[in-house]
Amino acid sequence: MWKAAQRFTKKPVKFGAVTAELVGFAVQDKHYKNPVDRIFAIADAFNEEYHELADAGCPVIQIEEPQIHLLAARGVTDPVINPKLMLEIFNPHREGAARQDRGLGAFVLGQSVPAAHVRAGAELQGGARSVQRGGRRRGDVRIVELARHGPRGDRQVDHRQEDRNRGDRSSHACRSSSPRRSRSRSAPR
Amino acid sequence: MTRKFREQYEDALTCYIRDQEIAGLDILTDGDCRFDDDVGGQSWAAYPPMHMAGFEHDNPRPTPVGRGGVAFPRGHILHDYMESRVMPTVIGRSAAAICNTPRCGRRRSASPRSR
Repeated sequence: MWKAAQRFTKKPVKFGAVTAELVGFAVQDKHYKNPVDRIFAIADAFNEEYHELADAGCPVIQIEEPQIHLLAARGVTDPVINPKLMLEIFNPHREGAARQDRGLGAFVLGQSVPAAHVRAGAELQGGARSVQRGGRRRGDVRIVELARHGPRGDRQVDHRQEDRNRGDRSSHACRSSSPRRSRSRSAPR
Repeated sequence: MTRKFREQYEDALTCYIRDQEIAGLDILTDGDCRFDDDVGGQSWAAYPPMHMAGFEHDNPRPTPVGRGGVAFPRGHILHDYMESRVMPTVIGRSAAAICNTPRCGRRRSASPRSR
């Protein structure tokens, strides 16, 4: 699929990828019986696939990992499923990717804040130009984290943060679960 | 993406890639427009296990909400998204590599590091 896309342009085409825990947490399991073993097995398979993709010439592989940020933002303190485990799971995905001869960039994307977005955009531009020139840079594996999250402790998690700037406009939700939210006159039916 | 959807995939790519070039983007993407028999249900999370060994592809099952420590309240769009996911079940000892590379069509044996 990446080769099919790359044939259409001279500019570098990235490949968007997923991390193992997003798959591992979403599937039913009749084999492993242990979510950690299941997820690490999938991560190993993904790592080999990403190496093959890089060997085929793919210049940029984007590995999205929202789970790290979601768990950190919500202050999840589960002894097994926690941000520390998410980082341990993420590392096998990019294992071996930081080689001098690879123009491989791995990006960890999370919830963005304006300043971080600009910085990340600048880094991305630089990486793109380097890839276009066929150049190689030290530390070609770039981990760009667009948010600074930490444990929220006992703070109430605001599930409506995406509606913060909506004003009086109703959200896309059909029905609000919060008694504080009022319906707008323009609410879609 | 199976071979029978290659024409649609390339047609979509023609539009996506050209629009991104016109917009001036430096690194382009196919937008994850990977067609398959289940167009509405395929996504960047569902596509890999549906093309890996060790999964039961013919009988995808709904995903219980709250898995992985993440859940959203009813009415939240991500609650609806997570409720609607159907994913294949793990039935094998280890998952072989997915078919996204030029060697598509030849599934390798399980990774020596697989658990």
